[in-house]
Amino acid sequence: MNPQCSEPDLQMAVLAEARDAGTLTPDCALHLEGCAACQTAAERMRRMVSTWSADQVDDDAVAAAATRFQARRVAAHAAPGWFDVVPFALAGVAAGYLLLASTGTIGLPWKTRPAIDAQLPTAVRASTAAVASSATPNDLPRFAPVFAATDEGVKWVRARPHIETTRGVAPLVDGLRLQLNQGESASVALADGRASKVEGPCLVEFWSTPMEVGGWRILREESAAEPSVPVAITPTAPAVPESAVPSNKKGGPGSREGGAAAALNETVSSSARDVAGPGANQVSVRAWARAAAALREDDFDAADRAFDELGHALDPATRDAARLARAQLWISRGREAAVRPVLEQLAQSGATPLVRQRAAEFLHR
Amino acid sequence: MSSRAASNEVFPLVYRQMRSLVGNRSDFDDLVQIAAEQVLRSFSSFEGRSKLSTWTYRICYLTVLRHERWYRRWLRRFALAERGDVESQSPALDEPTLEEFERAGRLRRAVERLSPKRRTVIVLHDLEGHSVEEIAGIVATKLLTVRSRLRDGRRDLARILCADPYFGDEACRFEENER
Repeated sequence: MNPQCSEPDLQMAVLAEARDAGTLTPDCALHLEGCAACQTAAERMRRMVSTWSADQVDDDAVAAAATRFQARRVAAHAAPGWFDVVPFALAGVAAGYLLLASTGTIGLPWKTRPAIDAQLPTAVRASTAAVASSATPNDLPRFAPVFAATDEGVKWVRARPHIETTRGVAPLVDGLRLQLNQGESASVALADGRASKVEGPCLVEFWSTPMEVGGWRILREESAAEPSVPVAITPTAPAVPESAVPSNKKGGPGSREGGAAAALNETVSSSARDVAGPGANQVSVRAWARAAAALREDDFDAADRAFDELGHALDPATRDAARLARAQLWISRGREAAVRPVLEQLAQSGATPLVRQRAAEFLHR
Repeated sequence: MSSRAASNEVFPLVYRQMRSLVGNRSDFDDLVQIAAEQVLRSFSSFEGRSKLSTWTYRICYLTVLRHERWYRRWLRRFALAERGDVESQSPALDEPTLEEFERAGRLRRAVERLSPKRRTVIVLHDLEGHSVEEIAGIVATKLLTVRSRLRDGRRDLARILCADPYFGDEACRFEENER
């Protein structure tokens, strides 16, 4: 429409009449006489309508299309659309599951620990990775224990790493925090059937880690309500005589187990001396004393419990020394493979040079 | 009314309306299928407050709009066409004259170059002869908006056709002067 019409309303009316081939009103006719733009537009409109009307579809084409439509409709209704995508959806779900399992985001059903983790909140699962890499769990959430309420629940929980108190049985989860009162004790059982006892009053926390012998790290914090340890039983470090070395029935003095036992004696003696200074943690002193006594009596379980308790001490030096001693105790019983990851971790990041050196020595034996 | 009877009644209507909106495009059959299916599915909810053709036109219009939005996105993503244009099919050569087919083809291609909303108004008003009020009901908008789209669509169409040997400015002016 070039040039433009100066009367757009009149042009609309003119084009309407041109489209319908009607009679122009006097105003429109007068305008059309003098407006070249409207003349061109009206003629174009007439031609377009004429061409468009001649280009209509015939009835045969419509009938053929109707037949196609009915055929496609019947085919579409014969099989539901979702049926075709079910195999693809299942394949997608399986691939996603395998991907998540391979990346460790979810656990496989035949593994005990991850099965528990899978039922935990996301924040708890996320904390596991941080703790496993020896990160400080200070900024991670803590959880109160959830005790099993039914017999079936108790049975289910006891089949997994759990803590049992007079209040009930609860599964171990990352960040589990439990306050034990004066006179109260709790039994901690791990997946491999080993158990240890924790005496109150204290505050205990549980964190899973592959670097611990049992797969769980227990942090024990002395409660303020704990009565002070009598001075009479904690003045000096317990001496560990040669006879404290557990008699080894498997290996002789020159064997690997025998060497481990001798080294264990040395570790316990030096560690006990280290913790016996002024201001020492009395609980640690007593635990070292118990460990020394158990070694003298060749009581593996008591010594293991004592080392386990020391291994959860808040002091890194005490904790790593106890873990080294426990590893040596296990080696003296021929269980090198089980403690190798612990020794590797101690050799790399032990709290003291002595611990790192001895762990490295054991690794190279 | 049975499904078969409803289908027999509305399908030709939908077919012709869809053809006027999109022409002989390659996806014409799909659009007819979708719109007719939609019409038949909603047929029981048609209350007769408007003409049946107005109601079906609205369904065809919405189907085309939705389909073109999706198709343009799809074409852009897979780079099959630069602007996401939909190719027209060449008409069959068993109709009256080749010249008429060529004219009709040029007119349809020019109309398809308009934006979907303007194209709908131009087709319904100028080429199919619907009133502005009816079109406002079909596209669910105000009368003034329809008039605005009509004016803009005519301007765009005149610009597209300005050099056409039959619909162009020169051809139309010559014809008028001849009269």
